[in-house]
Amino acid sequence: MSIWSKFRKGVLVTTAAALLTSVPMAAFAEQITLRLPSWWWGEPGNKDWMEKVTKAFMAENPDIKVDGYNVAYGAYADQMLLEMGSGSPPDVVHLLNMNIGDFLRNDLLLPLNDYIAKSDITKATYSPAQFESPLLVDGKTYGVIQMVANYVPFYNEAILKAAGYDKFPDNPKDFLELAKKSTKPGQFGYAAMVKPGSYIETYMDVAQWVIANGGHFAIDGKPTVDDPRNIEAISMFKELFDAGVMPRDVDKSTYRQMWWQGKVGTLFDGAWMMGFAKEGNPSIVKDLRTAPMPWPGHRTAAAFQLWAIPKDAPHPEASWKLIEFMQSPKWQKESVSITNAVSPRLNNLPDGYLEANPWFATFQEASDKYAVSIMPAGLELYGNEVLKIIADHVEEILYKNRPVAEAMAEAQAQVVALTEKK
Amino acid sequence: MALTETSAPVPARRILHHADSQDRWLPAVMVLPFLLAITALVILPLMWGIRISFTDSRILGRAYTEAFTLANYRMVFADPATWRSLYTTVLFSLGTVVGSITLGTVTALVLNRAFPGRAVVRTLIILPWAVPHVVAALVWQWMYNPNYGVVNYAIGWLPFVHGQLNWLSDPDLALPAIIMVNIWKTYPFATLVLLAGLQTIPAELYEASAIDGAGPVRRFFDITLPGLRHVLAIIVLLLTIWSFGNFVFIFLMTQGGPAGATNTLVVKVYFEAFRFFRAGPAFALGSIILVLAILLTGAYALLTRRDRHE
Repeated sequence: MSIWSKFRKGVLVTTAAALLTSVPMAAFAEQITLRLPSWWWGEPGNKDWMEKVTKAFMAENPDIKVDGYNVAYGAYADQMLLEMGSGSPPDVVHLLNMNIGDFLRNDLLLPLNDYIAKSDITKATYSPAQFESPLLVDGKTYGVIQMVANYVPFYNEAILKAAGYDKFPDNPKDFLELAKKSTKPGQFGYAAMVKPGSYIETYMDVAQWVIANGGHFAIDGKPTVDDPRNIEAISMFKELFDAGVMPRDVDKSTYRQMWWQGKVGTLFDGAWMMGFAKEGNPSIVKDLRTAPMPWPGHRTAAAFQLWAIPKDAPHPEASWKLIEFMQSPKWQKESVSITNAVSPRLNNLPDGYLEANPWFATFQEASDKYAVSIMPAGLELYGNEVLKIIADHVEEILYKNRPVAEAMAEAQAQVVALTEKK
Repeated sequence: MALTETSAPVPARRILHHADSQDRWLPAVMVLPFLLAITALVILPLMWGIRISFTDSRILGRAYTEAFTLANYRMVFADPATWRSLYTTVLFSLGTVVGSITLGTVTALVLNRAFPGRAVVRTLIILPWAVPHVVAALVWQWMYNPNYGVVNYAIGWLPFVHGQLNWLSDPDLALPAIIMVNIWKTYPFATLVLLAGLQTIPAELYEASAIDGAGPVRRFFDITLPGLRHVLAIIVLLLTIWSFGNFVFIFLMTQGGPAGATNTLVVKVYFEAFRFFRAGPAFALGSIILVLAILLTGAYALLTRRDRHE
């Protein structure tokens, strides 16, 4: 072989190799990978929905790959704050109305107004909470609700009947009586978070009583911690605590487990509890019922889980595309079917779902008619500090027997001082 | 030939000089990676933290001012909760030190005597020291549970115990309950060090005092306690330093509650920094704790130096 033919062969081989490698490289270079951390990747039911929806999204958008990974619920907010604060944010974050204030205060989220304006997320199709604080701050919207987590009584009918009741009470006084009557050795009439130091959970459980009783800890950014309706509600909570009807010093997962084991009569909890019961103790499911909050107005405290895009997200357009896909009527129906969670989309239940799950009607009705955000309205940006002030004073009432009115007045003064200082 | 060349005698002065310079530089070279790691992971973050404590800064995000201010320190010192936390920290440390040393001394005195199975008992005594803090906290949390815990069950027969005790949710009991857990965790350390100290006291002293008619109590106060003086001082300081910075037990068992009854300084720093995202006050509090820890460590260094001289 001559030198010339060797050279020619070499050029051909090199060109062919370059073509072969450059074509796929060009194709890969355009593919986007979205990082989607969530605790749902580690939860039965929720995980199934996440896998299905992201798989369908990737099939429809071959140029976008979704890298979903599990971050434990307890560590999620801290880890995201750290990742976003250090300049390496994921593409989509999974937040709550309880913690979005921490992200907003640190200027870490992208306003979504332009995206939402082009979508079908409107007041006609979505829960009113989507258009209120804390998602809406100074005219800018920072998240899209994925799930409405409202709380209604989830009770055990066998325990109710054993206590001599035919139907669930429709007023708080009767509920106090039921809780006391259904308490006996090894069984508690009611359970809530009465474990020292867990201030977010303590706040959430006490807020359910306060909101149901017509009160709240703030209205339009004005602190109302010592409102007479709050004092009345917390006094009732204290009465139950003193009567020993609640298991003490146990965390939420433990008393929830006690409930589906038949050791607790009533919880004010979310729709996901049915899934836990089905998995943990299928034999008890036939006894589980839901009822509206036992107050005349049936007001129910609601927390929200939502999707948001970090301010420095690498691919905001693709991130929004994914959020919009997950919020589509089809995938929200799937979410209800798979996770038993209340969707923020109005009138969007899967066909035949209510007939198969009659207990869910209470949640849906409560979400549509009576849901009130559990966070002090307009004070969400002060986030944890307000919650801690309230929970610390509730602890003083529960554990130090401090008069309710006195403790709440002091809490009111502290919240006012905090908001004035800022 | 090559062998002859390489094995040519080297002047003794050169060998000595070489060995001397090796002796001088080798320790420094060996310590260098450690120094670099400590500088990068401890000293620089500390300096940064102290700097932040004098600014109006946030932990996260980009917007903050760099201007020098004493406002964080003024805020921290003016906050009554800081003084309550300091008081709680001192109580926690004091309770741990007194309890741990008392229990450790009794155990060491028992283990210093010969009895069958002493080696097994010595091993068992160390077990709490070996249990990780997180595991211990979770186990004790259940043991203290008022409804299901073994502690209430175990003491229910005592005449002065009426009804169920809410160990972790009663503001009067929560701190003593966590101190007890910390004592349980730290007394093996006190036992081991005191046992080593006891074995350095000459047996002749006890024999002579017994001949002189001294009883066990007299012997304890006149021989044992003075003999353990230096060991005790070191234990007191180490336990104080460790208790001062104990975060795991309190955070896992009560998170500073109920109603702030167990809110020590380190727990307060955690809330300021990672719950309320107030970097300035958090770093100011952290710097105050650092100063206290440096004072304690300085005292420890002085004691050990004096001990060496004696």
